[in-house]
Amino acid sequence: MRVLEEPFMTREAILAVLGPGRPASEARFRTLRHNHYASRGLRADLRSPLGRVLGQAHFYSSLNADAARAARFGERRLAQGLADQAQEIERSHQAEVLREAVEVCGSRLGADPDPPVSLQRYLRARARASWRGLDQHAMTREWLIHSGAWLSEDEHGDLAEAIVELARRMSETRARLHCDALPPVSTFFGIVRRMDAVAAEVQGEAETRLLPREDLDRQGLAMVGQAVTLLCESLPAGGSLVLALPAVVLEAPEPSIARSPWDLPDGDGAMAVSTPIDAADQAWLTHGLAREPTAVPLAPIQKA
Amino acid sequence: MSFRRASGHDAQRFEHFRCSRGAFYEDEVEQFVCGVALEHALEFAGYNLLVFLEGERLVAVAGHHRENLLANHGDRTQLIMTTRLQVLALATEDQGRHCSDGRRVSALVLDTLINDALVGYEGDVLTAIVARENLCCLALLERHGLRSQVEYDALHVRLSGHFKRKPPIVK
Repeated sequence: MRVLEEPFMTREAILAVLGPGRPASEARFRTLRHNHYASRGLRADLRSPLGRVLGQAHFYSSLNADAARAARFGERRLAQGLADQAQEIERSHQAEVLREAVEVCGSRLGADPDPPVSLQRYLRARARASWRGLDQHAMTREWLIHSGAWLSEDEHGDLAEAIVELARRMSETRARLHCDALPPVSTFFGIVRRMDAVAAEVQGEAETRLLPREDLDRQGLAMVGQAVTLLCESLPAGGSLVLALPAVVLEAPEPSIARSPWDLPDGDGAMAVSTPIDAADQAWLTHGLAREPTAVPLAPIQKA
Repeated sequence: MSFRRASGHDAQRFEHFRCSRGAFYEDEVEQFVCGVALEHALEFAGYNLLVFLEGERLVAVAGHHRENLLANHGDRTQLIMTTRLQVLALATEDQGRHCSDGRRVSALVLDTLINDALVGYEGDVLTAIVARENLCCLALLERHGLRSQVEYDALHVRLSGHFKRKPPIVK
């Protein structure tokens, strides 16, 4: 399994790192820019195949999240250094390759009457959990920045290559600028393996973490199989912050081969199908059984 | 609308039943329903196939069967007895349709299927395997109590929920 951070993020995600729990506002981002704590960002022009302007998507190197966090801790020079490096990355050839992919994907959306399933899922999830949920155009522009929107079109592997290179440059920059000098912060990459109404289990390379499902819902990430980045931070006055963001999955492990969902029981009488399940799935199911069962109302349709 | 167990007389209804609008997961269901579902239900008593009719018209087909989930823990195997909601297919013209009481036909059919799956049990674990892209079905099942999700294969997830019958009202 190879899960990497998304190379770009939205303005809202940067502001979520700057002030956890505070609503995103243009004014706060302008202040960041004014103090050189954020890069200029990239702009993708979205046009229909006939050239009609559909809108613009703005996005920023993910190093801006580190810069925002440094700014919150009062590490001004570090924040400015990170923002400068973020700008360098945004000027790179790889960033340009990905910007074009966003434009192509966005333009295709304008021509296609049926939005892709991942966009439909994103809009549904965020509509329930975000104050911006009603603004579908803004949500669509946010979705376009996620690699899930355009990575499937990567026939020659150029986009994956660009993502790997940008991830390498970002982690090199973090090491060079000693970002680890900030209070305890860790980044966890993994894939959502199990989920219920309350919690979700994210499996990383070496460990598995649990987080409230709501945290994934808010970001439009509550889906089994979704790759996520968890930015984890111990807060100075106690407690901790976990911010879930999308991630890129480049080499997903194939789930163990299951029998076809359409296989039917055979034999006679009330014989049941026996299906082997993973021990972790069984544990998850057993946890669920400990909860209060759902009460079933009487059958609303009469038996003939 | 009423429902009953499917019988050999329904063969023609099954043949003409259409529930797919073209998505791969809808095609899977339609192929199953129009292909092997009835034949299998008639052959094996353990497979319960229900038909939902409005007059003579087939509105929906739903099926369930018992399923034992076996988890291997090395030296021992743990068994969870469940009932799988194996299929729920709504005719294309009834998808999204509301009844006179304002409830969706899909919700009524699912409630009835859940009830039928629990016949003979005070409470039970119900499961269903759904295509990850079938957002409407995932939302419907979650609303009706199948809230736990685990990976099944690259295209499907297994949903499960724990159900209990409401005690009858004694007057």
